Amino acid sequence: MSETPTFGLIDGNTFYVSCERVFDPSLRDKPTVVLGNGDGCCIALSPEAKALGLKIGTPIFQVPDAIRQQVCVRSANFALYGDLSARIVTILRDLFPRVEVYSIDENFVDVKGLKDPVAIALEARERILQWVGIPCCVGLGVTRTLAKAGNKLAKNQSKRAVKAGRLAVFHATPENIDQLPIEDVWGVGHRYAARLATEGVCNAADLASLPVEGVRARYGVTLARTQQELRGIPCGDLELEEPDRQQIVVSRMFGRDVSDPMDALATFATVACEKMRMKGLAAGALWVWLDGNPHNGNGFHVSRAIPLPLPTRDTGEVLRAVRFLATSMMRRGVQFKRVAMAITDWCMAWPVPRPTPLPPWAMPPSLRGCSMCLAGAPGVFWTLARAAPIPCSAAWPTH
Amino acid sequence: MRAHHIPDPPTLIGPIGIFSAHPLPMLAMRGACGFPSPAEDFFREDDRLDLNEKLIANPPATFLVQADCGGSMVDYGIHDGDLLIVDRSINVRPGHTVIVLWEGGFTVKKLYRRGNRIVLAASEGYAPIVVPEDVELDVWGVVRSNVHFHV
Repeated sequence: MSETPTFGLIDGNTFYVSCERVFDPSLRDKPTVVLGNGDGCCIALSPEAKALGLKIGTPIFQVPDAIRQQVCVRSANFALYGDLSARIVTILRDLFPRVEVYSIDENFVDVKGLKDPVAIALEARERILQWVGIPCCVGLGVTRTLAKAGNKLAKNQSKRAVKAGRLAVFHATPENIDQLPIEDVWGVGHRYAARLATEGVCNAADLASLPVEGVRARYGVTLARTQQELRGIPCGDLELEEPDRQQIVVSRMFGRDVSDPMDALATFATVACEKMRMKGLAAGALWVWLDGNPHNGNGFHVSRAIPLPLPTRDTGEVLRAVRFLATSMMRRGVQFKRVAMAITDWCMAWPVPRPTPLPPWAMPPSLRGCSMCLAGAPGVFWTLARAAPIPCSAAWPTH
Repeated sequence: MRAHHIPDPPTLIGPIGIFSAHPLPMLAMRGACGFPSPAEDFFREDDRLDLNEKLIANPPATFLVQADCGGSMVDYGIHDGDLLIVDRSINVRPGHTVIVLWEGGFTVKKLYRRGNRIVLAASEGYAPIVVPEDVELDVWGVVRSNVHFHV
């Protein structure tokens, strides 16, 4: 047996489905899918739904009726998933000295120096299951890649078992990862996985045993690092600071084809501006893109970006620019399946104190009930109505 | 595409603002009548009362639920429409008010033990449920307190 682990990865099993099941007992043990992107595609599947042959990313309208009638379908409720995710992070911060929030359902934790990491991992799993209602699996290892591998292996060995107990924790070492298929190794994309498979590298242990120089020369430094980590040599620590994201993107695939995406874009712009102000940033440039429906043989993609004359934090200015960009690309009679807008090239705003919510009597009447006034109060006020989308005129450019 | 077979997602009243604090000065009068005490001039900072802190013992395990139980729990002080503060980290014991999964739905009941059977009791006029021995009761959470709105 190898030395004690340093990292743990705690991951909610089929997270979105589990979140729905906490509040809707009728979904338990039933094939369940969660649809994202305007109820277009499956973004989460329960094991029962996977067994029916559904895949992540499948548009729901392509699923044969016979199968569709057997599955319970839910629209994604990201406010709910985010809330449950934050609860899980709070529980983990109580138990572990350092926690890296890796994604909405995955958290790396520091288990270095803990007397019995497996026992604490089990305690964390139990607490999350009882307090929040989400079943989790835990992978442990001396590197983050091994912890991630352990998580995958724990999932495989505790499949479908909510009360999996000890089976839900797996301590991965360089010696016991031969059951992990190469495409499930963290950092190996499916293109590399296919190429490695042709050379007889089918699982994580095979990759670890390849000569180091050969991997670096033929696959590059990233895979060489992955290989080092699989051998138990750490190449990275927890990333506790959120990386500086280069852009804020809000996009949505519509459930039906839409000829006028202006309302949706206005809502996206409002959401993106709220995110931007929370981070204390200002928009330097905007980017809007519109896609047709490839399933109708209408697979065009148009996009256009503009720099703003001056960086701005004003939703109104961003809305005007987004509207200008979109109208310049819309054509009469053209239907869209997906629209997106991004704030790019943003810069730190000059130091402005975080806005505090204005009391209702102090708000200008035109802004009453508008979420922008409350933008400084995260978490508490999201249930209030968002700003109404800007009305748009029906007159489109005909060129 | 929002087909008719997709029911509305469960309504959450809202997230618990774990980091929010809205402290209010605590009045020493305890709801009694009469003059405000002159001692109120001597309130210190720590005399402030935070309702979140008072009502929510364990934020990550606490969920706010609106009671939808008609008159079935009036005898136990829960009226229809009350705000239930449900703490999932409390290990259930006889005498607790609980939200349980029963016959595919959530229901609020008082949990008792009679002999070696678990009984889910409600107001007078509502028959108590005696849980059969071979059924494993699924308790969703323990109701820590409820808030009744008089206006």
